[in-house]
Amino acid sequence: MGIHLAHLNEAGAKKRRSRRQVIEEITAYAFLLPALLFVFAFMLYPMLHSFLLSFTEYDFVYDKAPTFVGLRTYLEVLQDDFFQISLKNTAYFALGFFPLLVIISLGIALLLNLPLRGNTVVRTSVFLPVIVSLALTGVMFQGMILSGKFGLLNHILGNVLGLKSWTREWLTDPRTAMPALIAVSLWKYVGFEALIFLAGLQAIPEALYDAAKVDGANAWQRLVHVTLPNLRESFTLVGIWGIIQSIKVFEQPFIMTQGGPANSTLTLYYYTWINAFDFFEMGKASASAYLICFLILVFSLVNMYLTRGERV
Amino acid sequence: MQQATILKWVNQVILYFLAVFVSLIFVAPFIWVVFTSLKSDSEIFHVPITIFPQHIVFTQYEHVLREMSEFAIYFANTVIVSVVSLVIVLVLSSLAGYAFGCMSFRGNQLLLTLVLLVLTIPYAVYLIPVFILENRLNLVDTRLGLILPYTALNLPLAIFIMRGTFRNIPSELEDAALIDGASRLQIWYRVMMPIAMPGVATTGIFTFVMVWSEFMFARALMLSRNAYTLPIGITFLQSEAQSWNFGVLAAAIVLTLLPVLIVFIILQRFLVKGIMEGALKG
Repeated sequence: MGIHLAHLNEAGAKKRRSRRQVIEEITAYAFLLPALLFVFAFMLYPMLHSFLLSFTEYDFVYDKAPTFVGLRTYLEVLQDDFFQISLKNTAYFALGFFPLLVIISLGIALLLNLPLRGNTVVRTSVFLPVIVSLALTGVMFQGMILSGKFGLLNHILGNVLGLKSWTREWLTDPRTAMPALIAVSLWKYVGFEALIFLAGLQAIPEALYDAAKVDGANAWQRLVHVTLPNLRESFTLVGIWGIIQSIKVFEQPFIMTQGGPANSTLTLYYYTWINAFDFFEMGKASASAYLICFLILVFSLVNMYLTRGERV
Repeated sequence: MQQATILKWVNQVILYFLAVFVSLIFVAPFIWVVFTSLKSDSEIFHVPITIFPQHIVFTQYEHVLREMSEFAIYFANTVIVSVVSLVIVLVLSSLAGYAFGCMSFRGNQLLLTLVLLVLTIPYAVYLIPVFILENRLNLVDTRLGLILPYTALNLPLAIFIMRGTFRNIPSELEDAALIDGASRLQIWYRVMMPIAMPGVATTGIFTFVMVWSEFMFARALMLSRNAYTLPIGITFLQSEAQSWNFGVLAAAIVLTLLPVLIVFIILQRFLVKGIMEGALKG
C-alpha cells in the first residue's frame, strides 16, 4: 500500500515537472524568437540564397529569374583574368599584412605589459584607430597623410628628415600602392590584436617567470620558453581574426585606390563587389563570395591545427 | 652595483622613448587632421607646410555646418539608424542571451552553434541576397532598409556577450525570485537586467562602433544622396575635396569622429574589458 502511494506520488511529480518543463521551454523560445527571426531573415536565409545563386547565371537588371547552370559559374569565375589578378593581389596583401600584424601587435602587447607609468595612455592611443571606421580611415589617409603635395608623410620625409628623394605619390605609384594599403590596415587593426595578446600575457602566472629566473634564464629565454608557449590560445584567436582581415580586404582599395593603379590593388572582395553592384552579375558574385568563404575556412583550419594544444 | 643601476636607468629611458614613439604613430594622423581643420585655407596651401596652426580659425567648421546641408542629412541618417539599431539589438540580445544563458530547453546547443556560425561568414555572402530582397520590398534608400540588416548583423556577437554575462550571475537570486512565484519575464527585467548592465554597456559600445562605421551595406543599399550615412557621404566629400578643399574635409572628418570618440571615452573600460575577457574565454 505504502509502496503503491509512493509510486503514485512520483508519477505525479514527474508529470508536474514535465508540465513545468514545457512551460519553461515555451518561455525560452518566446525570449529567443525575435532575435532569431532577424538572424534567420537577414543572415541564414541570405546564406542559403547566395549559395543557390552561386550555381546560377543571374543578371539582376535583365534576367527575370536566375537560370541554373551548375558548377559553370565557378569555372567562369576561376578562369576570369580579373579573378586571377585579384587572387594574386589578395595573396600579396595577406603575405605582407598577416605576419606584420602578428609581430607588431605582439611587440606592442609586450610593451603594454611592462610596468611603465603612463602605459594606459599608450594603450588608448594604440586602440584609437580600432573605433574609427575603415571608410573614414581611408579618407583620412588618402586625403591628408599619403597624398603627394599636402600629405603629412611626404612633409615629414622631405622637410623634417631631409629625405626628399623618398617622397612620392604613395597611392598612385604601382610599386607603393599595395604596401601603403597594408600599412594603413596595420595602423587600423594592430590595436585590437594587441589587446588580445595583452589579455593572454596577463593570464600567465607570475610564478612561471620566477621559476625561470631561478633557473637562470635571461629575458630572451623567458620570452621564448615561458611567454610564447603560454600564449597559444591568444595566437589561435589573433590568427583567426587576422586571417579574416587579410582576406576580406574591401574598403581600403575601394576608397583609397579604386583598385588601381593598373589593377594592382584589385582584391578578391572588391572583385566580388564589382560583379554584384557594378555588373549586377549576382550568380558570379555569389560564387566568388563563397570562394572567399572557402579560403577563410581553409586558412582558419590550418591556423587551428598549427596552434592546437596538447590538452590532457 | 652602480653599473647595474645605470643600465636599468638607460633601459627605462629607451622603453619610454619606444612608448612615446608607438603612441605618436597611432595618434599623429588624428592630430594632423584636427590641426588642419583649425587652419585657414591660405595657411593650409602655404608652402612650406606648417604643422601647428599659426592662427586658429573655425571657418572650416562654419563652412561644414552652415553651407553643406548634405552633411547635416548624412549626420541625421547615421544618428537615427545607429540609435534605433542599437536599442533593438540591446533588447533582443538581452532576451535571447538570458534564454541561452539561464534557461534549459531542447535545441539550445544547436541554435547557439548556428548563431556563432554566422559570425564567421564574410558580409558579402549576406549582402547580395539582402540587396535583391530589399529591391523587391522597396526598402532600398530607406532608413529601415539599413536598420533591419544592421540589427541582424550585430545580434550574434551581442547574444554571445549577453549569454556570458547572464551565465556569470549567481543563480541564487534567480532561484529565490522563482520560488516567490515571479515569472521569467519579471525575473529578466527586475532581477537580472540591473545586474547585467556592464554586459549591456559592452554590447552597446561594440554595436554602436560597428553601426556608426558600417560601409559596405550602406554603399550598396543607399543609392540617393538623401539616404547616405556618414561613412558613405564622407567618401563623396573627399572626391570633391581633391580639387577643392582640405580644410572642410578635415573639419567634416573631425565632426564624424566626435560622437564615436565621446562614446569611446565614456565607455572605454567596457570595450577593453569585453575584448580581453572574450579573449580569455577563448
